[in-house]
Amino acid sequence: MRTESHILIHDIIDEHEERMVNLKKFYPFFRLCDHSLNQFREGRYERIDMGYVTMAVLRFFIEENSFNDRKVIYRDYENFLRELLVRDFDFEEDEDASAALIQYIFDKLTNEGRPFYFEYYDPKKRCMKQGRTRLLESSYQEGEICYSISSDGIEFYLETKETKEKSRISIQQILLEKMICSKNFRGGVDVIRRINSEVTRLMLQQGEIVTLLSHNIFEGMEALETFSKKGLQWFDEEQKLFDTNLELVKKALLRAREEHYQPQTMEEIYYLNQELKKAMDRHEALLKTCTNLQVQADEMMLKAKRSRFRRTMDFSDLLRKAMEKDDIRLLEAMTSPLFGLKIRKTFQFGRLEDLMTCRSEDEETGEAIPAGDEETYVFEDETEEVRIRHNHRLLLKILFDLLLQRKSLTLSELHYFYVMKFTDTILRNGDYYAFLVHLSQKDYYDLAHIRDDPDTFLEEVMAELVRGNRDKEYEDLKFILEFLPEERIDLGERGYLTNIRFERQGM
Amino acid sequence: MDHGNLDKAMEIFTLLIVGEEVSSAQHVDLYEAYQNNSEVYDILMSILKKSNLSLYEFGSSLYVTAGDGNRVFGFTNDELKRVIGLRLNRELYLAYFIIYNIILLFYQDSGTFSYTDYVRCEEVITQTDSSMQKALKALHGQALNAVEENSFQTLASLWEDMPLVPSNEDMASLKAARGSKTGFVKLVFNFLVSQDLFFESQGRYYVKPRFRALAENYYEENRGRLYSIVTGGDRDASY
Repeated sequence: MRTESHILIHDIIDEHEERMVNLKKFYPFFRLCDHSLNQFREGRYERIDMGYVTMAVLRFFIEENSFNDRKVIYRDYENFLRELLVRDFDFEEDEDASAALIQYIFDKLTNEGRPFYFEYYDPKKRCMKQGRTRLLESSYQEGEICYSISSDGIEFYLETKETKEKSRISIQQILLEKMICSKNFRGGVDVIRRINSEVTRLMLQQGEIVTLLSHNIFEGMEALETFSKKGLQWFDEEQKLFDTNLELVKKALLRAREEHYQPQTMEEIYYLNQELKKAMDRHEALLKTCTNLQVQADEMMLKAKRSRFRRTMDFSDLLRKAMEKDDIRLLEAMTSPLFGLKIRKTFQFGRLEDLMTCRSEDEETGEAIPAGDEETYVFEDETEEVRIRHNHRLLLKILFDLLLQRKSLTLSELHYFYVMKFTDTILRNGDYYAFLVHLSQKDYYDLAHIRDDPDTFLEEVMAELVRGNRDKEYEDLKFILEFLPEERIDLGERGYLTNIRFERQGM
Repeated sequence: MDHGNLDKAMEIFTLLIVGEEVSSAQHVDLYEAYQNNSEVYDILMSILKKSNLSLYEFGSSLYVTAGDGNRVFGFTNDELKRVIGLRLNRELYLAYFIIYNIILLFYQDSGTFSYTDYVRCEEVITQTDSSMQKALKALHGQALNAVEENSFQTLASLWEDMPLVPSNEDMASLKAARGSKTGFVKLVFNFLVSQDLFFESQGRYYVKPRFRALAENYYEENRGRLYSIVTGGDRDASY
């Protein structure tokens, strides 16, 4: 492949996503221009240009949010737009009609509370992707909903007039420098205002990244990386330019005093000086917030890693399952957790009657308790214990009887006897294996001693057996256990036992 | 145990149960104690556990919920009917159904918020209509007296019988009332606003952080339990 062709394909594929992300902020504007007012009230207000209205509203929000540093409530927007409609479109309809139109425009600008979704193809990953953008954002503050312009909104507004450069702040600073040198101090204040709005935009952008991080950590981290690359790398340069400009303003002030400038010019320089200092403070605050943002992002990443394997709940699926069960009472458990706590305790009217008929203490009669038999409860583990004792007693009896007949006996022989007596079912009986485990705990048993002083659970069973034996045959029985781990007794699929030799002592 | 820490934990607990905000903006010292002092955190969690309450943190703010079946802090069905302004049990269950559908407008699952700022009554009605479709189809194939009391068809019939708006009122001036779909949804929203879950402005219902805190955390944490309830493994529904 030729180099030119390679570069061409690289440009098309690799840069496509970045271009689309950049285009995203323009998307709401064209959508708003395209089909907004021709559908409202049979197109009665079609002559009102949505493009103009959008730009005007954005400018109004920049003025309020960035320059006056305050949030906008719906009433502020309503007043602004009503004035605009009357001034620029000779809108003369009554209050209700204008309120409805203004609200309709607002819903369009906020896209009914949802972001504008912009779909594009990612040729690298070969899939469709969705970008989100908003012009206006809402937040709940001190009992009312406040609106503010989003960072995309500011960026869109600024880019419609100014070309995009590496750092807008730096460009504006250079412009400011020129203005100060040419003694255009009033123009300088305007430039500072533009710097402020850029700082506000970056501030908003970092806020949006925090929100994005909490929604989707990966998208958030990606946005943070882009933000750090594009927005923050110019901090040093910007700060130096700020210092240079402050120096220039100081010099201008000095010269103004020496050369006795007009009082109005003096005032303008003072004002410029003040505004520049304010802008520097804001710039400093931005740097601080951005440093915190990185720390915050790291913490969020850590938290996300910890909860990565937590499964989310599919709300639709839960409802579908509840509807399949067809019991509306399930809805209570599904929704009641959302409700607040009931802290106001109420008194039931039913209890009022009890109070009215409340008798004094001496009239009170105790609750009659009918005589009855006391019930004894048998717990599950007690039933189990009785069963185990019974089974062990049966197994021990066979062992003792065989030992009384023979001097020596192996487990393989004993096992054969057990199978003969209890059939194959013994192989599936857990108590049998438990018995062998208990039995192998010691290598010597003296039943005379065990009868008086049983040491283990199995010895207790042995003692019971000895005491219950009328012929007192077992009392003098003593035997040792010799373990033969090399000899295996095959139990088929159930594994194997290792052999033991039981040897009677004395007698 | 340090008495100062016990005091702080109790103070946070008291504020939370009376519905006051403990966050990085309000009662900052207490929020910081919760964040940075492990003893305060442990005591608070222990008190909450004993009170059968769950605590969730969202956007540097703390929220509590009684979950379901909490006899001390939870509402009984009768109390809820009184608070919302309903008379019949099936109306209450319809309200629950609508509330759940409101969640669906914001979330497909607890991990993905739809980025929607607000919803209007009309959207809730459309969503409820669509969720009710299956029950409605079943209802149309049945004789009315054959509908079981606790079946979703009861809700479908109640919902279907309601007009969108009462014939004598227009949409804008419509009050919250049981007689129409829009009025009913407004009634439900009034309750949700009183529970600090939504904020109303010009007919738009904006979601508040408490709603998001619970929707994103409670359901995720109790996922298994909720599934076993709806599939009938855990307990009978007639609590």
